Amino acid sequence: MSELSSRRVLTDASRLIIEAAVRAGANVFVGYPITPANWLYHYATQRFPTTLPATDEITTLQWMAGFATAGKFPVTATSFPGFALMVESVNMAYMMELPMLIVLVQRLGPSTGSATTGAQGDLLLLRGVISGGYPLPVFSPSNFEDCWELTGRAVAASLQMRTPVVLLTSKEMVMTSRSFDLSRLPDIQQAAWPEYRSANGYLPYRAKPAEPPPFLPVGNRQHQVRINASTHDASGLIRKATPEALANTRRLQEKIEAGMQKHMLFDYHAAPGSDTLLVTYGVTAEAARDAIRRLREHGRAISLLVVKTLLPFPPEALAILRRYARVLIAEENLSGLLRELIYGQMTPASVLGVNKIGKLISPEDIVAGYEKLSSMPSNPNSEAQGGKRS
Amino acid sequence: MEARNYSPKDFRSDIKPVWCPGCGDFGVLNALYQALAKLQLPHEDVAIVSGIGCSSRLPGYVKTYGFNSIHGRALPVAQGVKLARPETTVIAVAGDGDGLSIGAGHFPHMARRNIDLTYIMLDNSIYGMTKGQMSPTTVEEQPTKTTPYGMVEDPINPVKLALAYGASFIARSFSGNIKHTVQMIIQAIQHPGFSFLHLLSPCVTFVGRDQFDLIRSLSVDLGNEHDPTSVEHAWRVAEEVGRISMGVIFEADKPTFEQRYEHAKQLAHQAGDGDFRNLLKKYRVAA
Repeated sequence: MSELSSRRVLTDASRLIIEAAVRAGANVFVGYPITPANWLYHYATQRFPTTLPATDEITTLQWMAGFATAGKFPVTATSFPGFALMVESVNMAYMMELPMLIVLVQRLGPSTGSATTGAQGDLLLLRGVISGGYPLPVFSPSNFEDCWELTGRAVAASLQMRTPVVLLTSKEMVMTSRSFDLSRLPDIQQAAWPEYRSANGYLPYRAKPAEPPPFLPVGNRQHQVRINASTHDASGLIRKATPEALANTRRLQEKIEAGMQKHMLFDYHAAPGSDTLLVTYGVTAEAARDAIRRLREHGRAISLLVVKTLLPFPPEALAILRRYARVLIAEENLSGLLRELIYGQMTPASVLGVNKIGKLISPEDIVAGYEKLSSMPSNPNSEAQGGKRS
Repeated sequence: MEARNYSPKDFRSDIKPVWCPGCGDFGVLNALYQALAKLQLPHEDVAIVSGIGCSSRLPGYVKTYGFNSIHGRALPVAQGVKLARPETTVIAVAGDGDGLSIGAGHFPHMARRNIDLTYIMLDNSIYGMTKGQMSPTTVEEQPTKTTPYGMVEDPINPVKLALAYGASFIARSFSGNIKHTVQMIIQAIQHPGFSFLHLLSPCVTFVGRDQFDLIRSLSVDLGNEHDPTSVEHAWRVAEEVGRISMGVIFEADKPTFEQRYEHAKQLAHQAGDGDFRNLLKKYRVAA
């Protein structure tokens, strides 16, 4: 960010997310008040070309869908209670193939829970939120730089694949201010729709295999555009489960799987000689980095994997996990959502969760988890133990 | 059960309100304590149901059955409680954001059903708990965090809505006038059917102290010439500009949902519905 070189400011990450979204090409923000996402909404009123106050979160997503069909890129920010109301509309936008960014700021649940207490409790909700289990892309920033970069990335991915995308963060990440040097932030390129450029007849859902259809906005004055949330064919008309319509539905999954291949983001720091891997995401990554430093000072090497593309989960991250005899997974919830995403109901005995609710996981919590894990049996099948790669 | 003599403080819970010093909602709470004492309603005969917001903290401060439900849903939860326990006095509490924005869809249906419960809307024209965003009753001149350049929407008039939706009791009061608020709460509770009390309750933090002065300066008591049984009179009050009339705006005598539902149940019983064999009679397959 050259024009802001060597500028140290007191800022929170809400400010960075809003600025990054605008620079990436987002131009409409729709908000409804909810803690801890309010700062994003307030900053949007100062920065977005258009900011609109919706009357609830269902309206929020529906307005965004309307804007998206006309070629705008809409953003909102919410927390679980608001996102819960958005669920049907997120499915609508997914089926209609409309790009938009939803910043989901996690807070302590269940239900209204505690609005001013952070949490990491919504990962598996996002994994199952599209009826049928279709993948919804989810990025999770692990520090201020990520809030900037992943927001730009999320807008670009959303436009490229024509799909709603979630930026999954939590209360402390977006509401806590810190002294931050803006010159550390890279430039963000403005993203664009995969536009329809042929002079031939246009079918709104005619697409190449595993790709989104090229886009023309409603009101383009050349071709008719039909947008549809029901099972539909290439023309955008409602069809029952015909082969063509089902192929279109299947393509929704295929385009995300193909399109996300270039967005599989994680940070991996391999400690030489370590047989233990610490895995985490989001706000807990800050504590994890601190814990790794402390352990290293005491002569104990432990590798770190910070996952930034949570959904679809990066296959390469899975490959890294297999290399380790012991795995520690730190996340701010009770039941271990990332652990379940990776291991399902069959968590090996060599995997331990560091879990907590109501307060940030501290470096001490992670160090204590490491001590406990070290006394547990390691995985005889891991590559570190000479086991076969499955 | 032995007779008890309730005083207002008997309804006060041990919880200290989280409201900002000077919040209008303190006046509502005090008025509610007094109204419940005047009605001598036993604690166990009252349920107060709310959604989420500053005003929705109220149930926690009253020693009765209490609910903090989710944002915008005070009315439907209150309906469930009332229909399951018709003998209970059910009071739903909502704010202008809670009740006129996210939960607005419940308002017409509660009004037309005429369920015998009391709906108190604490209107401060702002979202206070989330730090000052515009609400559906925010007026044009009032800057908010999300309308830094002013409101570009007309505000909702809750009394007009209630009247149009067919509420059988509509009143308005101001939390700065506790004596009047006590009277309005009592009459709203006593009305058989859905009663709507529009209660102006200023937010000193995000709107400012001026809100008290402004409401006070515009307040006018509905005099004897106002006939609350007249829809025409009520519309005139609902439409008024430049002043805020306080008192019972409209009152109609209508059968309640409970009465009509009981009647429908009897008809169903007479028709033999509810009997498994009866229900399947017309689907019988010849052997």
